[in-house]
Amino acid sequence: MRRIRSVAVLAAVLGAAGMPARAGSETPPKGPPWVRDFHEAQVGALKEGKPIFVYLTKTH
Amino acid sequence: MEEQLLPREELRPAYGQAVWLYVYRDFSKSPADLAAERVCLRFGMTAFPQHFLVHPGTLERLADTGRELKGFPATVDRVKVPASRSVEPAERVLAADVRAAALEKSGSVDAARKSIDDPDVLVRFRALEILAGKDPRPLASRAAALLEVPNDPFRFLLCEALKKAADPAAAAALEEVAREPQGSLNPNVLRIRAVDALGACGGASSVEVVRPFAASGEWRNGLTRTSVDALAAIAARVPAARTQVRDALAGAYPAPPADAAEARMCVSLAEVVHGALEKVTGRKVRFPDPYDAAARERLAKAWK
Repeated sequence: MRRIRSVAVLAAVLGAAGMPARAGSETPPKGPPWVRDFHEAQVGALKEGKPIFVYLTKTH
Repeated sequence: MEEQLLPREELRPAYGQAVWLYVYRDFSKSPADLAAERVCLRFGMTAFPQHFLVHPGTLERLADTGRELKGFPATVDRVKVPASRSVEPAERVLAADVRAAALEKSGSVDAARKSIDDPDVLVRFRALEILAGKDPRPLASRAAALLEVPNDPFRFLLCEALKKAADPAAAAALEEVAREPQGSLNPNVLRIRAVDALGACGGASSVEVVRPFAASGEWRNGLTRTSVDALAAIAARVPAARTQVRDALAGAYPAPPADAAEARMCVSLAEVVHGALEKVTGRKVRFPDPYDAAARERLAKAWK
């Protein structure tokens, strides 16, 4: 139990410190201005005349 | 890899040249996960991670940037999409999502039969889910057309449904996919699914299609064992194909590797081939220890 709590605290500290997202993370990689909603991305891309860069990943 | 690549300073100019969509699946079936599943199904994704550029109107895949910095900004810069006053394509997708959800909720076989030819691939997938579970038999007569749907999750599920239908009417179309899994983003897995279905639907003509996969000796590839099992299943259903299957399996004993670490997997595959031959022929032949090149040669002749 103590170990689980320690891992949770460590994760919270790393998150707060702005560490880069892990592969397969709910948090997208830093850099691009990410959109999480497909409809929003499609409407934005149509109006702005841009392709959609789709990045698909999953939990590991 | 992407976590290091995408924040790179050199990619900064590309940030304004595309709309960046992040889709994450945790398989929790939460609303966010289900929304991500819809995107994955629409783009036919069966392996992760993946990234690519798509046209927002047609959802056609326009380019792959690759996973190296070299060429990435140039690829994004090269892909041009004209601005549109209409957001009708986005509304069309929303409407299809509504149809797909209604179909899924109803579970109706009648509605699924009508929706299997829907213009939207997600709706077709939901229709197929229902038919695969409740009424797969009529799919066999339409196998050729349906296996051409350029979407791997759809084709994987269709192969499962055709296996369940166990109708020889699907054999020729499955053989075609096994020979050449055209347009697949995951061709080996599509082949595995098609060969597996051929075990239930295939006949003598399927044996020649499956034979090279069984005889590949690639013990790390799931296709090899699936092919051995499919051949044995064909022999069990089609007496006229038994001799042909026996010969195909006798040629499927894998070549013992030079690397001792690989030997265990090689022997394991050889035992699977051996077991299949015993079932097909109804005979018992002692499996040799050690399994080496000479033993392999003796075994191949032992079943004639």
